[in-house]
Amino acid sequence: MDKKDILSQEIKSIFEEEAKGLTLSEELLNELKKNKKKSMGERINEFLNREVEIPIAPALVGMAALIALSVVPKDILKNEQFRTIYIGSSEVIIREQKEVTRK
Amino acid sequence: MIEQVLVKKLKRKEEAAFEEIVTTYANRLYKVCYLILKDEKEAEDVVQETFIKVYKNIASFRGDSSLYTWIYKIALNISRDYVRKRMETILLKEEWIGEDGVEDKVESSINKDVLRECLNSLNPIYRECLVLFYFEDLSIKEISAILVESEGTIKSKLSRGRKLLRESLEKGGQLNG
Repeated sequence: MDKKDILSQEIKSIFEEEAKGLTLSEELLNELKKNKKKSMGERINEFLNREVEIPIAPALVGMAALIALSVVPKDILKNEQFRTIYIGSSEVIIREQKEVTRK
Repeated sequence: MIEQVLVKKLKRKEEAAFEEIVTTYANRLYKVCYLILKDEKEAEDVVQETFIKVYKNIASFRGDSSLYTWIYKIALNISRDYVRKRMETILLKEEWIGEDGVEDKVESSINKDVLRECLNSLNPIYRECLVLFYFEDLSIKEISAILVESEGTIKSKLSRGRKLLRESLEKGGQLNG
């Protein structure tokens, strides 16, 4: 097929004119370079290296709550009701309820 | 970078290799897709989808064709999907439509503006061949590999496209194809 006849040359010239100056933006080119499918290793690296922003106030409140939970005895909130009866030199403690575990 | 080395690096998912193919092919593909689709946004989308497919499927590239043929094949396939969405595909018979006597009469007096108009309204199935043949300066064999069609079909499309343009020029810009 001939590419040198007038029609061919005109077609080529029109295509070149229309495509002249047509380029993808730098932003899109960078996006194309970044948008590749990531390997598992890259994904893990990305996950480990990502920046995480933690707001100070909620973080402090959370930390305080954690410390409080670990320091304060578990049964502090339990309202144990018991009565003590003294019989002579003996002391009898009567509880309304007591958790028992079977061995 | 030699193509075989580049392909190896691409298969190893090396960042620099991907950057190289984007730098080498992105703008060329964009121009080709724009000339076929006549829509900048769609052409951008096709280029983006093409590279995503390249990244995703590079492992399946066996080197039967050159890398650019493979990348163009992906891009042209996606372009065709866009064209299909817009219009129905005209089925072509695989036949050689020879040159005719109209050519000499028209070629002495081509009105470029009319030709531009005709090219823009030409069916994309002819325009893609003309773009690859005249703008990208590819051979019929290369186009045949990219479009996955026989060389006869490509010749036929080129010839039919030119014939439609010539007829249209004669009529002052009315296109039938």
